[in-house]
Order: sequence, then C-alpha cells, then structure tokens
Amino acid sequence: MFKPESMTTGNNKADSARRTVSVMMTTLTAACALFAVVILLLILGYIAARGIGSLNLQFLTDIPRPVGEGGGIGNAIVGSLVLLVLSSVIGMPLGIATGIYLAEFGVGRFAGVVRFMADTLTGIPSIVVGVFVYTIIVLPFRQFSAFAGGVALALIMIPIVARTTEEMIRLVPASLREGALALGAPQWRVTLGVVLPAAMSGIATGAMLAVARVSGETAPLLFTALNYNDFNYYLDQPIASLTVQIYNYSISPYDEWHAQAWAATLVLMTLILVINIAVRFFTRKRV
Amino acid sequence: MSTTAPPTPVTQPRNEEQRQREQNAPVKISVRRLDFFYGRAQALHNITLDLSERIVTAFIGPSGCGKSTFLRTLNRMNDTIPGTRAEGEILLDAADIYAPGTDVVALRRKVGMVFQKSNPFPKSIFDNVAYGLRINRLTSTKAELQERVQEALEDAALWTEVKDRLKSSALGLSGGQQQRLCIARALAVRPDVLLMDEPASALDPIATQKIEELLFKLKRQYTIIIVTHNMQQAARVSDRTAFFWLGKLIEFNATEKMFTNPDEKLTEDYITGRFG
Repeated sequence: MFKPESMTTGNNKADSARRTVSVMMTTLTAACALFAVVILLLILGYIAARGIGSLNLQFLTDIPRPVGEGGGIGNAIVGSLVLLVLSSVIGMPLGIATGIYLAEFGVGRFAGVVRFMADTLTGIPSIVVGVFVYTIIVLPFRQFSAFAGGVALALIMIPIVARTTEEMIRLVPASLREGALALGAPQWRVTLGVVLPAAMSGIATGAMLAVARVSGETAPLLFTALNYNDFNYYLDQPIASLTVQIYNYSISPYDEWHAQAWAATLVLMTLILVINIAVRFFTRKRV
Repeated sequence: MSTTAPPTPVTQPRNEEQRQREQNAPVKISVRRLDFFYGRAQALHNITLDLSERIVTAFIGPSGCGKSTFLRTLNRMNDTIPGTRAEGEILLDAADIYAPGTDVVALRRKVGMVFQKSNPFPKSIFDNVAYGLRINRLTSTKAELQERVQEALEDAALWTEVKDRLKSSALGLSGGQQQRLCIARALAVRPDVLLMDEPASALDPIATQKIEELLFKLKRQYTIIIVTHNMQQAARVSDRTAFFWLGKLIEFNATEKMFTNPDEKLTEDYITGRFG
C-alpha cells in the first residue's frame, strides 16, 4: 500500500546518510566551480589593472616606436584582424564542409580515418603547424607572409570546426531530415536547406571557439607571418600581430615595453570578447 | 486496471452508395509478396495486398508488428536506414517503385508522408508549407506560391488560425497546430497518396478530433493510409483495415466487417483487447 507519510518522515539511518552525502557533494562541486571562476576573474582583473595604464588612443592607432618615444600597436591590431579574417576564409569552409561530410555521408573506413586525423590534428602542438607551413610555403617562396600566417592558423582551425560541425549536425533530429526527404527533396537540398540552418547556431559557436583559439596563437606566426613594424595590407608580405607583438615586448628588457605588452594583452582579450558577442548576436535563434 | 475488454469500437455509419464506391475503388498501390529486412532480421513476411484509390486504409497491430515499416516501404523512406532491404513488388499505378532506376525523389513527391511526431522545419509557417513547392519548382510566380500555400493551409484546417502570422516561426505553434502544419506541408505538393504514421498519437483529444475530421475531408481527393494504435480511431476514420502481427498481414477487410465480424480469431482477440 502507498503511504504518503513514509516519504516525508525519513528519519532512518540510510536516509540521513544519503542526505549528508548529497549536501557534501553539492558543496564540493559548487566550490570547484567557484574556484575556476575566481581564477579566471583574477587573471582578467590583473591584466586589466596592469594594462589599462598604457592604454590611450595613440597606443591603439600608432605603430611601434623605439623605447622612450611611446608608440602603439595599431598595426598589430589590424594585422591580427587580417590574419583572423584570412584564416577564417580558408579554414571555415573547409572545416564546415568536412563536418558536413562526416555527419551526413561519413560511413565506412575513409570517414573513420578522417575523423581520427581530425582528432589527432586538434591536439597537435601549434608550433609544429608553424614549422610545417614554414617548410611548405615560406621556404619555397623565400618570403615570410601574411598568407603563410593565415594558412597556419587555418590548419589549426579546420579540425576544430570540422568536429564541432559534425557534432552539431548529428544533434539535428532525424525527423527533420525525413520530413524534407518525404517532400521529395534531394539529399543535398535537405542538408543545405534544412539540416544546416537548424545546426547553424551550434556551428557558429564552434567556429567562434576556433577563432578564439587561433587568435591567441603565437608560435605558428613566428615562422610564418613573422612581424612588421608598420601597417601592411599586402598578403605576400610579413604582417604584425598582437600575439607576436606581446611576445616581443614581453621578452624585451624595457619596463615601458612590458607595460605595453600588458596593454596589448588587454586589447587582445577585448577583441576576442567583442568577436564572441558579435557572432552570438548575429547567429541567435531568430526563427 | 479494468480487466473487462473495452467495448467494440464503433465504425462510421455507411449507406449502400458508400459501400459500392468503396468496393469499386480502383487499385492505387498493389503490393506483391513483399519481404523486408533490417540487416538479417526479417521485419515483413510475404505481404500481399491492394490499396485502393480515395479510400482510407488503416494499419493496426501491436507495437513492433511491422505496420510502420510497411508504411515506410511505400515511399521508400526506409532507404535512409542503412542495411535495409526489400524484396517483392510494390506497384504504384502499375509501376514497380523498387525497380532499379526508380526516381525516389519523384516517388516521394507522389507519395507524401506525415510523421508520428510533428516535425516542422525551424522556419516560418509560410516557408514550411512552401518548402515542397519551392524545391520541386511547382510554382512559377510569387502569387501562385502564396495561393498554393493558402490552399494547403485551408485544406489542413489551419488557415484561419495562422493567416495573420504566416511569417512567424512554426515552432511557436501548439502541438496540434504543428501536426496540421505538417499535413498542410505534405498536401501543398498535391501528392496522390498520403501516408500517415500515427499522426495523432502525441495529440490531445481535441487536436485528434480535428485531424480525424480532416481525414474525412481529404479522402475525397487523396488515397490515405494511416497507421494507428488507437482502435477507435481506426474504426472511426478508415474504410478498410489491415491487421498486422509479427510482420505478417493477418487480415485485410472492410473496416465495418473487421470490427464486427472478423474472419480471423487473432484479429478478434486483438481488437477486443485480449492481447497486444
């Protein structure tokens, strides 16, 4: 027989032990979450505190100057944006197309190999990618270039974008596909017209993560885009980037440059944040 | 749980003229010795039956009896499941739909389908209904497209409820409205045959009633085949009923006869709730 009171009293031993464990585990996980957030806030706060002092309009627009003459990172901001756009233009279509292939047509051995390679590539140290691009693009043309930098960043992007795209497409319910197929839609129209739009916000988030990941890369750019002390809009020439600029200033012996490195870091973080918010805004669910 | 068998479902009243029409309806789909396999497991055994034009045929049977599988062979929807195989013949207007070289896309345009769970696309109400028309290029002007969309929504008894918000998302509709939208979407391309896989099983009684009323209206124009778990529903909406059990077709008869005086003991046991 069903006795409601048996559910509310619960003062036997097993029940109270269960409750104690439950409270303990909840506290423990909450503490871990708090720890992670606090560390992140500390880092952000420290960078902001150290960087804000050197931040002004001249710093954001000027090119680097010798120690004592101020100077700025305008060319590095533009260079980083150029590299991000370039790598996205190369990496996104390839990555998304690979993801679509894996999710929609990827059965059998070949797809298994592609999937495994993508997973391996995601974990590859970025400096290896830099050396690789140095060998196949920089050496033959005897020229460091923005293009080589973009390719290096794109190579890092592709596997990340491919795997997230695949996961997101798999989340689209089979019933949607069947609904479109039942109306006489050929496979490719189902994929492009129904499945992809349904997975779009997830794919955009994955693409976002990839952009955020490569915008913090320094090592692959050292061997490819190198650096440049002025504005450059030619893709076959070396180009400045925030990360390499931060690297160069950090290893210098001058306090002024150290301060500028902090400020540049703050700018880089803000840039990533802005890109993130912008993409979320434009890919928010509207329908 | 009550142990007494539920009362025998009430079939729709018929006059002699209706009986005549049903008996003389020409064959639309003719199935001959159909076997169907999921990998090595055989799901359908030697199915042979004729589905008539402008008649509502109901498939009944316990879960896993193969009725949905059979329904999905009729527009080759099972093709999307890897490792499946059909043997035998399914003739639609005398052409074998499993013959090599059959245009599956054209077949599915002729044989529309409504699913158990409503599956509107994450698009606007209008774009949902227009989808089939657009991909098949069935309309040439914008006005014609709008006309066909309105017509389909009217046929699905949804027009008055959505006419002021065609541009808003289909996902904002209620469950019953979503299912009628899916029916409208299927009707928009004007198929010959409409397959319905438990179209009302996830709906409340009022929405179910609306769908059933819709079926009465639609059967004047379409050949309708409906899979249902609901015996009362089969009795109410169908003209003929096929009873499946363990992948076999046990009995196929006029619904009236099926629910009052079935030929097979198994059918009677199932309909009266003695098993299943």
